[in-house]
Amino acid sequence: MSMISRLGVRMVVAAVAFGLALPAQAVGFFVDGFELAFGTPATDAEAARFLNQATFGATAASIPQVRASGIPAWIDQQIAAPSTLSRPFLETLAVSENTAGNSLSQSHRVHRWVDVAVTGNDQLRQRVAWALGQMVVASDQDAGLSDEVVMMAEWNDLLVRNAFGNYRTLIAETVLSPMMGRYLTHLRNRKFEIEPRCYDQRPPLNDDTDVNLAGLEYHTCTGSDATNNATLTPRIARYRLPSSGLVAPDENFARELMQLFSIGLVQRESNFDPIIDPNTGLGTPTYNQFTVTVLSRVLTGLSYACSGNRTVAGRAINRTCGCTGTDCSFNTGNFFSTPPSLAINEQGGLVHPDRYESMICYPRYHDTGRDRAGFQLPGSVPTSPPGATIDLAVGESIPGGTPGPVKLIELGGAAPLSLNEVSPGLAVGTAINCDALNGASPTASKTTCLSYCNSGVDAAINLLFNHPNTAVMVARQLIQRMISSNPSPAYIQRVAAAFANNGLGVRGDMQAVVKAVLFDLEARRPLGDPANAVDAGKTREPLLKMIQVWRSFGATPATVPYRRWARFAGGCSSFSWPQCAYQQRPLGAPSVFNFYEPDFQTPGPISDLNLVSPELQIINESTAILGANDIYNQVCAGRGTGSNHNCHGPLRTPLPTDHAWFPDAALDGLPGGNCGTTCTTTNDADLIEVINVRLFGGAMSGTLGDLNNPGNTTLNTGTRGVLYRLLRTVLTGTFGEAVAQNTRRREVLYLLHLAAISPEASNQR
Amino acid sequence: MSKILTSRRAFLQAGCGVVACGGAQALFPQLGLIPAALAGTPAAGYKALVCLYLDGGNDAWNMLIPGGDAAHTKYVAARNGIYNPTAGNGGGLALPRHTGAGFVSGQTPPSSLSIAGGQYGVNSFCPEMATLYGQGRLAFLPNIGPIVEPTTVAAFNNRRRPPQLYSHNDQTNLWHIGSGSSTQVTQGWGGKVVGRVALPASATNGLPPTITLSGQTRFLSGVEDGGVPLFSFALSTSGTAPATSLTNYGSTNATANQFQIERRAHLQQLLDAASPQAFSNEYRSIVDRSLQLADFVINPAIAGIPAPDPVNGGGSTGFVWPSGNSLADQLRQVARMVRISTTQPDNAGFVSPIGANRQVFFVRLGGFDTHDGQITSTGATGHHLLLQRVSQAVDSFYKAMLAIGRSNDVTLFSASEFGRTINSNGNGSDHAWGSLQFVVGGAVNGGNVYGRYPTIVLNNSLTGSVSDGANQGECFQRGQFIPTTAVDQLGATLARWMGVSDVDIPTIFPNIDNFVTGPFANPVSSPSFANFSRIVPGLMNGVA
Repeated sequence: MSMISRLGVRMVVAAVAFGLALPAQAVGFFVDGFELAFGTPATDAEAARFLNQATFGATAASIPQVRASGIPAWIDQQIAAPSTLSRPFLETLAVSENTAGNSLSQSHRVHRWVDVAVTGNDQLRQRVAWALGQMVVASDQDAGLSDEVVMMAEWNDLLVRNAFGNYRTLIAETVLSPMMGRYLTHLRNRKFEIEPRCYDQRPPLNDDTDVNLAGLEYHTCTGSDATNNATLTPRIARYRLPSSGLVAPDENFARELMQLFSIGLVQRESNFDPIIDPNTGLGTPTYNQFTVTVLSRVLTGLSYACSGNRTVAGRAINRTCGCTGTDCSFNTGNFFSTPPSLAINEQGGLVHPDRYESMICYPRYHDTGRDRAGFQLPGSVPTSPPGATIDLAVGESIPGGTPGPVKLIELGGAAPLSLNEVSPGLAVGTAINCDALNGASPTASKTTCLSYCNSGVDAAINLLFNHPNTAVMVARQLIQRMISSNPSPAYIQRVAAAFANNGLGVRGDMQAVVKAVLFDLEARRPLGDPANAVDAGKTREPLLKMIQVWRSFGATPATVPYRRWARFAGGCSSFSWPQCAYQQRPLGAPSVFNFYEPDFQTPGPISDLNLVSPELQIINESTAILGANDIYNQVCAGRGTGSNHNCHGPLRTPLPTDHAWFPDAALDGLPGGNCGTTCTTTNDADLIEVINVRLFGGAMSGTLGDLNNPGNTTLNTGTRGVLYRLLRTVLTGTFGEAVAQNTRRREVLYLLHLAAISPEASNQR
Repeated sequence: MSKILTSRRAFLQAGCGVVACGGAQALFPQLGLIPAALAGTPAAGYKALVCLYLDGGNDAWNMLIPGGDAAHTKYVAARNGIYNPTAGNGGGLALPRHTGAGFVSGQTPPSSLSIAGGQYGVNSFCPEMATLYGQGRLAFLPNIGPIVEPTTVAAFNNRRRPPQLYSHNDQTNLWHIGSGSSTQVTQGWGGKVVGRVALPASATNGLPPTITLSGQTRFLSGVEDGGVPLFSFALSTSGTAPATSLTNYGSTNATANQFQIERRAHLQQLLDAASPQAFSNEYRSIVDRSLQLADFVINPAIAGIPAPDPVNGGGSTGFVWPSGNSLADQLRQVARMVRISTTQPDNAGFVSPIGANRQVFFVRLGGFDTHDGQITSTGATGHHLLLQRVSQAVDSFYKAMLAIGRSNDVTLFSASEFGRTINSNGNGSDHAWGSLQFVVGGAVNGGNVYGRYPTIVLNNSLTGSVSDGANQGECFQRGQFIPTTAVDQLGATLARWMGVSDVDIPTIFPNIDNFVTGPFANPVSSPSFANFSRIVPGLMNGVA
């Protein structure tokens, strides 16, 4: 441990990058016997505060559990807990829903996500996956994914699986994911295609007939004119675009892979400070447009795999591939083939697993620096910024970074990556032409071409993964999602160091990173510790506040035909919940820039204090009230009178069948919850306290210093005082309820809702 | 195969090198360099700006296409031919000429609509825009975009240019900021304009002069007179309660029982208690402001307007608001807000609880990032459906302003982060730079094209070789046009119209004189650039 702490971050990164083994006595940061400051919560409130950071909400059961085990052991148990996935569940559900005459919809997936968040055992994994999904964003708010329920469920599971894995694996699976391929349009991304035209070499020379049309003055390079009846090597006169027009790599994914999923826009120190270019006074960029163009050339040739007949949820989904194993990479028809879906009872849901399993390389469409006929392309290593071109013919050109023998990717501050073409050669027939291969081609050629494609993608991933920026970008965003919007630079640096090296020489170990986030003193120091910054913590994500209310206070889902949660009312429907109320939707961000941006600053006091407030980007006059109204709708679901459920009456019978509700037993089981119409001052104080512990993590302001005189505002202060006065002086009498406990249940829910929409509850500290 | 070079080359960021990024304007918020606000003067009367943001990068070269025979032919060639899947050209992005050239019934999209004597054609799905142009109420601005100083293809490496070209959020920020040097500026020109000329929220019953129908936006961020920060107020598109009201808390609920009213009172106690913590405090003020304005100002005012209110269309007004059109929903709300924001003598004795003098609104329509599926049929689908929605919504909005007598006082302008590549990527287009926008209103000298409509070709440089006689505009290899009108210039024109004095313009648009007195602000250095002036001359009544 001490040796690691003496090594700077850069040296350790260098050691990893050059493959040096660390000495045997290097140990992981966090091993048995490690004593974590504040590692055993001293109070229920501190335990809940931790659980509100590490789970979707503290519960009556989890608070004593973490107090008994201590935080490190609790985290280890969570890491060991089996993962709760969505896709297999939804595939099984698809069969039963289809049989009943319903298609599988995104609403099914959203309810499943809510169910796992509220009731799943692997809470920490799911919370981390939720954070990762806001960094590496794919979304069903996209024409290519809005109808793909199983694909989005698999994207969810990809995040869940990788939450405690390695970040490089997450990036690699993202690059090969058809979901990301559709979202950022690198599915079926194709290399530049240009066509060589050659000089006439057959006597009589220069008798070309097509003299007026640029580009057609010359001949097909494999034709008899160009080769003088196959006696001469063809000589390229110029290139032209295919008759169907430009085929060029789409740059969408290459850009976001760098900007959002790994290195970001500006070079950073390991504490997130930007590295300023002294010439401009601005942050030194990590990449430029040329890098995007070249990276997009690397990310070409990826499309769905073809794995033949498969069985999903007991149903056969067949697919004819015409190939087996790696030979499928040379069946170019499959590049354009979309794996089928399976309708049951004329309803949709199941799809062939090729639709969501990793894509494969198709060398025919992957950029090798050679054209279709096998000639090396004309570009040389470009030195010019965007605007440079390679002229093909008059009026035709292809963009800067165009194919040449070398693809050079340079990132600011990092070692450049250089990829050479498959093998050198200028003429047809002197080198492997990956375009012309099929399943019957020589094995050595197929291996070379496939390996070139795969290793190019791998090398690009390595370049981005190993860039120092990636550690600090991941560290900062994970802290922002779980702990605090404005971590100190030192906190970011500590977490980035854990990313760079988990203590055992491994870079990108998410378990080490998550532990570094949660164990850090800045996260663990108790509330009220004077060393805490005033503005530590974060605004809660609006959706997560509702999830917590369900989880922390014991709501139960509907059960038939599957566990459903949300009640759709107040302008929300099965298509629009939850974004209608919370501006957030599981795997449904409005764009690849997530629901809010990491650097958003609310104008006014927050920006004056130089704080960022990402979640406040989606909380405004309209949305704050929409959220408050939906919370009321969900809290009072199944209760009250009239068509709008409300808390003005008891739980209805029969019980709800298609949405969640708070069972009477859950409310009665709260401290101070079961006293009917004869509740004492202690009962009311206890009820307020349990809300403070579970929902506020102990942060509720004020004290109750004079229980017998609720109106004593000198001694009954803060939010506590207001809530106490509400219970003791306003919510009195029977409310007309015949059953005394029904009165109390209504009081509990009124109190819970008011607490949930209070300013202090909008914060997680 | 893959080889990591061991020698590191000095990394020169071509996108932001020594001379590239706006000089020394370091505006990182943490360096505390938010420009100090000059004292403003509330302007007389009422005017409003509406920013219509087309999110994703609108392919506006298909909103207004070339109309001349030669120009249209070049356009068709550059855009990979007229869209015609039946003839095997499903990847083509070009549209038929207004004369019908290229139109094949049932196979291609309809011919464009002639304006300006046939010099241009408006997309056939935007007939309302063509009509407004003909009425002199709509103007087009071709080849406008974020730019730091006039530049050319030949001089591209030697002049300053905006950072992070082709990146959505950066270019969006530059449009909102109103100058092209840095994306780090925290305020937008909409907020800065009202900061100069609008009454503060304290004088308009708490309603700020900046109002959004589509989320927080940098465009509306600014400071009021004296440096008080400006909060933009968010409205919903709800017909009954545009200022969202808290349900079941007894504020405006007519059947509220005693407990609802008291619960509301206790909520108010929580909202009245300031917190030492900035995040809780912000949430507190958001909710408090929202409830006050909703329950006591906006919703009662809207409900209190005597019916039938012409702003809602129908009846004898001669227009209706289109349904199923989220942009129309937003603009209808803007129209209602304009209605209630001032006391108008014709409004049957309605006294506005707001009394605003200047307002800036923000509305947005998404879906314009048409990398895929830009044209998917001959009908109103894909990009054409979006354009149709824009045209119909803007038309209804203008007619609503006419109906309430505010057409001369309200100006709507479009904005979008960039245009799109001229040539196809197979079934769509990718990110480019200069695009085309439009401005609508009674104060607009419409029926004109302000700026230089470029020849639509690929890879044109006037300062090098000329391609195929293309003599307007310069672009890169996929038709990414270098803007010949700056966002700053449009912003300055609208700011002047709103009452900002010419002397204050550089405070809001610090680069504005790069286009007037700067070293490249002359036809020799920058042959394509449209106007070497702070404003777009002639665009707005009264702004010369």
